Amino acid sequence: MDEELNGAAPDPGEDADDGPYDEAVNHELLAELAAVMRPRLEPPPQVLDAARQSFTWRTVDAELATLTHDSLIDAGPVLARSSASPRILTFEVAAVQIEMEVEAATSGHRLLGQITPPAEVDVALRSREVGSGEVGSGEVGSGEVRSGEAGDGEVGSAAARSDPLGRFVLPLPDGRPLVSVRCTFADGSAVETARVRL
Amino acid sequence: MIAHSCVTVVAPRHARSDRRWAGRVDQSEVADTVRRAAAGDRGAWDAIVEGFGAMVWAVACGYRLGPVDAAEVSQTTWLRLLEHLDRIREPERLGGWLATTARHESLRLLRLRGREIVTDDETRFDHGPSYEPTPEDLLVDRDRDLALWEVFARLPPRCRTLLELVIIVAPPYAEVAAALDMPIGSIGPTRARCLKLLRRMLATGGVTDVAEGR
Repeated sequence: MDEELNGAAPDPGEDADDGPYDEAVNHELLAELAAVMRPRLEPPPQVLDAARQSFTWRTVDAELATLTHDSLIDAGPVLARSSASPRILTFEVAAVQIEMEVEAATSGHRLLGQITPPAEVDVALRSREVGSGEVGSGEVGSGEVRSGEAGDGEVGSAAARSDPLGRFVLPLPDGRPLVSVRCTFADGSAVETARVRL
Repeated sequence: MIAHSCVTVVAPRHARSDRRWAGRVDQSEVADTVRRAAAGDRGAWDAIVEGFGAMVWAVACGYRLGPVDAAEVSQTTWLRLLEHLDRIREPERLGGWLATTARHESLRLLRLRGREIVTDDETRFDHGPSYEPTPEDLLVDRDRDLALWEVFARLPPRCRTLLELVIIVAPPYAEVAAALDMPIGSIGPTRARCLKLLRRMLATGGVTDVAEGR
């Protein structure tokens, strides 16, 4: 950083002084710059609207498994860029781990999952898209979702059951919406993954 | 997908910058608001979005994301907060947490898009061409403002990003450090250098050899 900026200055010697005069002038310039730039840095209103609306996506009836590994980020730039390597994600909460792999096939994308410790559970895929407010179906079991609310657009879902080894397969919808997977255990408790774009 | 293409060119009807939070209010107020939002208070959530929405947006814009992708990063960042509301360890540092999350989500989206990105800190912000003044800019009625805008656009990209964030948040710039993945102690000196460069360019009509300098 420092090198870069010094490189940008024709005369490195001039960067040496950092006196009170400089500080006062910089302060004034920053204020002037702020007045010019602030209006331009405002986010579009719909961006803030979407942020506000996302509150309706709260998951209140399941434990949330947070994303702890994403090969896209954690495997390093080289591996992440290789189209040959599948995307692998890991979600965890308490003692439960859910690992998922995106499988690309000609017939469409599938999600291969593994629950650890292994258990036969109901798994459901939920996909939603921000801004498709008209769909507004309301989420079953979530007391927070009000039907028809803008920004709560459920665009698809799929259900399956894991095998005794905890493995499951779910079809992925087209168009790469944000998805989460919800696992409902025999005792009725549920774990839901963070939403990710696959 | 040019750098800063999500910087808006038309001023909104009313500036709300005086209601910015990031670093400008009592930290305990932020912590309390996070707790209320976690408990289901929608008004508290809206207040957080109001306070930090512009900062999150600016971080995304700093990563050469276009408006659509910046909107996506913004939305994903807010979802992450929603998911973590009741487990953020230091709610009073919410701004830094949001800035870090927005940085991560920006990188994730860049990777998802399969773009060639250079993760090296020195070069991360240096690829986009500078943004050109649009016809709307010509309506800026004060010559000095226009000159400032034009010269600012010619600053090295990383300087622009840093100054934009500095404008939005307040000292001690925890959010800026988190957004740029820089030590907080280097924000002040870097800001000073960027401003000095801007001053020099203003004095010479912006004709210093900045373009070739970096």
